[in-house]
Amino acid sequence: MSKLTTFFWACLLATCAGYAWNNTGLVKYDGLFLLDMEGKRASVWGTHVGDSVQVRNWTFTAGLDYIHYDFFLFNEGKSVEETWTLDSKGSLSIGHVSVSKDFNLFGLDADVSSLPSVKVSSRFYLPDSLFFARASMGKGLLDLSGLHWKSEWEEDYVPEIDGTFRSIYLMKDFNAGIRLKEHILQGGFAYGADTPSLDDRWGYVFSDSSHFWGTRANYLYQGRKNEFEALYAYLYADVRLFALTREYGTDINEKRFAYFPLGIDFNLFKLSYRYKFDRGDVLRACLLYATLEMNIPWENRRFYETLAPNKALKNSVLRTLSFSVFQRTFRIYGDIDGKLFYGGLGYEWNLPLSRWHMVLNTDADYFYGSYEGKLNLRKEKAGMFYMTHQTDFWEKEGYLFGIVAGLELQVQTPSRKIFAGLRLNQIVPLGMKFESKMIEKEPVIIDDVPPEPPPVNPDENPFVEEESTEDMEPLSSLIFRNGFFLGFEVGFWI
Amino acid sequence: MKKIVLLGAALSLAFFSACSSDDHSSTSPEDDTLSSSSSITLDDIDKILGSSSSKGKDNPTSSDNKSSSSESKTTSSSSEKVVESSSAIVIEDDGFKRAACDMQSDEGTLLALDLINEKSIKMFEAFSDKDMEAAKSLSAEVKPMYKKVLDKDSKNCNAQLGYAVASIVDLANNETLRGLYNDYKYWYDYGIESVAEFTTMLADLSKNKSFTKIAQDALDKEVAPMVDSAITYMQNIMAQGDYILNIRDGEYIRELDNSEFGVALGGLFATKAAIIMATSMNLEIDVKGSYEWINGINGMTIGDEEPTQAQKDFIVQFVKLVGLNGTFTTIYTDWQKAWKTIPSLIDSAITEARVAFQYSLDESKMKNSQDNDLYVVGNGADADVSIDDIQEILDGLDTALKVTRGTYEVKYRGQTIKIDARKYFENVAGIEAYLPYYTFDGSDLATFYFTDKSGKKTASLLDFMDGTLSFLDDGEDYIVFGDPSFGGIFPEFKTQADIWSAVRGADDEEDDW
Repeated sequence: MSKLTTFFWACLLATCAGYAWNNTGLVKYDGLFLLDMEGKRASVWGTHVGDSVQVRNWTFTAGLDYIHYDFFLFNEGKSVEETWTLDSKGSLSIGHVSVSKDFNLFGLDADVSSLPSVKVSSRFYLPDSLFFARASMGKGLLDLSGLHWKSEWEEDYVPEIDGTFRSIYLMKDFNAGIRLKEHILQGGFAYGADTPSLDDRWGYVFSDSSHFWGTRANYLYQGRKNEFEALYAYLYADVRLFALTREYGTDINEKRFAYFPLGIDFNLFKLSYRYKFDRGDVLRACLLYATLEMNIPWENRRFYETLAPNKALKNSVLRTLSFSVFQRTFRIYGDIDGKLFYGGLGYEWNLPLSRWHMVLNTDADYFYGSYEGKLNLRKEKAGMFYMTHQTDFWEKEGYLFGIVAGLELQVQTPSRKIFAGLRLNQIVPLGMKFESKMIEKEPVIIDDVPPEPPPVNPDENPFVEEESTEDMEPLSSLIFRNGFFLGFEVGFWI
Repeated sequence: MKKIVLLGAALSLAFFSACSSDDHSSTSPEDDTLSSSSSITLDDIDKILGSSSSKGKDNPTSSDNKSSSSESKTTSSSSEKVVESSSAIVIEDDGFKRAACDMQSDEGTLLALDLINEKSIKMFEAFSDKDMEAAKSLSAEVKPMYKKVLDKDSKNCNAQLGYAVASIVDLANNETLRGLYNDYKYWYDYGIESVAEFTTMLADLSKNKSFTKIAQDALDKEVAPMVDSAITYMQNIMAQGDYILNIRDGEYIRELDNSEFGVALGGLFATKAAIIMATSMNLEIDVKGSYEWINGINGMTIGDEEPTQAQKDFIVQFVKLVGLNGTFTTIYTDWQKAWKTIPSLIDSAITEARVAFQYSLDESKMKNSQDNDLYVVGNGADADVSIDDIQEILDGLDTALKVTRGTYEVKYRGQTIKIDARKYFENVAGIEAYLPYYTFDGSDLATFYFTDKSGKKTASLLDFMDGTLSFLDDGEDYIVFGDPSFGGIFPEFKTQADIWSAVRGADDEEDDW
């Protein structure tokens, strides 16, 4: 934490030094501590420092983000051979600069970051925003190192995998709307694609070749006291994640040892309402419903197995001979569907503090999320004189409901030009149940079409794993470590 | 030694079956999709073979090709390939006739082979699922079935391959080997931790004969004949050059070709070499049937302190076994001819493996030639192993061939030493041939003296044992080897000084002993 503190104060000092000649500035710390339980850990925290200057119709913005992430998962299998650890820990420092220029009826924006990434937008608008449109295009490189998988079984043929993820993304976005007095109607369409970029990466590498598109429409009413918004968004994604071993010999040698295609359909409906009282207090309400459908398609092609550990073997003799005596491949296919209901109420108090201002914000949101999945795991074995396979069928379902409580406090100077704020959010689970039923299937001959799930024998007792609220640690020990968000910020604008 | 014998006993399993670590293994054969044809019996095979014997050989497509069939490769690859195979080599006159197998079959033979192949695939599946009972009973059925086909069509490729493989696998049904395996497994599972337990094991494993003789007899009488006949059949298949066997599972087809047959034949040659190595050597370490003397090794160090009486007794006995006029590691007279063939067997093993991997490499250069291969060679992501991987193996095999065929240079302690490994197999006198001059009356360790060539005493062994003298620093002054080149293994060692300077090395690294 001392590193973070030093960094934070350095940023704060830099911002304050620039105060004399800048228009706005902000220093921010956000931390999301999602999980910290035995065998599971996930957290992200970061700081942001930014400045922007406006000179006539030019706007210059510069900023620096520092993001630290930590993910850890210990999978305890039925035996040591099936027990492994997956973790990823790292940090990213991203600097970015953007320039905007506004002309009479249109504007241009350019944004460059050290990812590296670049984004350009052009805006068109009629006076009074009767009609407005915006088109942007961006391209960047995603580079994550520090993916680490380790088997608990010391004699495992592939004991350890240290990998990097690298992919180039492309985003195109178009947005248009009209404004008639207090009514705004807006629609947009976005397209994106990921292409692998592994040219100078060796060893175990991960990447994806995906494309996605999304559309959204929203209606906004902005009255003097009332504000109402209705939003619908849809996202379609066709994701193909894969892992390769890459070596450089007389030529570039690539072997795909994992392939994971995933189709995603995501729908979001949102209604929100905001009422501003004369005394400055604000009441907020929102309602959200989202559905997520994920499909892992059946893939029967050779070289496109979900996991082909033989190809991940490091030693070339062992790798070659293993195909004759000890070939194992795994193919996963199936569907997972999820739903989320979310509703919340919030109230914002504007409290005078002698000549200073204090804004106190409280939220109490309720959520209910559920999922059900039907997954097939086909295990294939082959040796020199035989091939055999068996499919395990999994039914997974579960739900989680609870409260997200939020508290925000902001203090502003009498001129409201300098502010400092603190925000806390805590997810409080009230009930949950995760269930996993496994039915082992006899070997089947598979045809070109994916096989039907196997019939469930009613006399058979399937293997069931269950986890519910009772299995959890006491609630008090979970709070501030799990599902906890912390943010504070200091900024100014003149 | 224990490892070698265990290896021999478990040979059939280790060689062909995949050792699965999968827990979800129990699949009952009755529910398997192929079960409809697995009830085929020897009589059925007889009927199928008999009923169609008059049919012509021009209808090879009549079979539904479900599990396997022989077919010839469509490309002219074989003529392009430079094949340096030892398939025609007959190591010794073993009474087998060798000739390229025949890929053509009549309709009845083809049908019978399809049915038998299905059954053997099931047998291998049972092995992979560790269902040993099913595997053994299937193996007992399959072997005579292939034999039936061979009786009718002795040159048939599929039948020769099937019989070769089945006869190795059928060793799992061999009572002698089974008993031996169980005896060793008991002690392996027991987990030996002390010398005393080790000698107890040796005594227990020895019955009316010494444990070494029991294991050697089993290898010689039970395993070796099967390996010999399998080698002959596999040589016939390799001599054919273009034979392919297809294995089908639903939509998946896997094609076995020389890439696999060559490795299998290489493995068989290596196995034969290992069997001869293990059986032709006198490994008797008992003293009148007892192994008690070995307990004396307990707690022994060299060069640190005066050995105890028990330790001295152990050394006395040890010297008697391995020393001049000792029998340990000498080659039995009737095995000496076979012993000398070991280098050429190892040569054949490496050569056959080389042919197999060269075949894979050649296939990788021809379009669509390896679509159904067990492993696809290529540099792209739509392949299993890279061209460089295969090249690396070929380079390794070439190095191994150099070692087997001539002198080879190894780096040791900053110097280069030439080694001619073949010479080891020209020596039938055992370790004895490599020992320095000494005199010892066999009663007490104190009577052990190193001598020079003329028999003049130079130093007592005890001086080296208790640290008065050091092997590394003083050895050259007191120890004289009869043959500095150790039977030609180190051709450049001409004098005693050559030996000792090599042992000390060119640099000043600390020695462990």
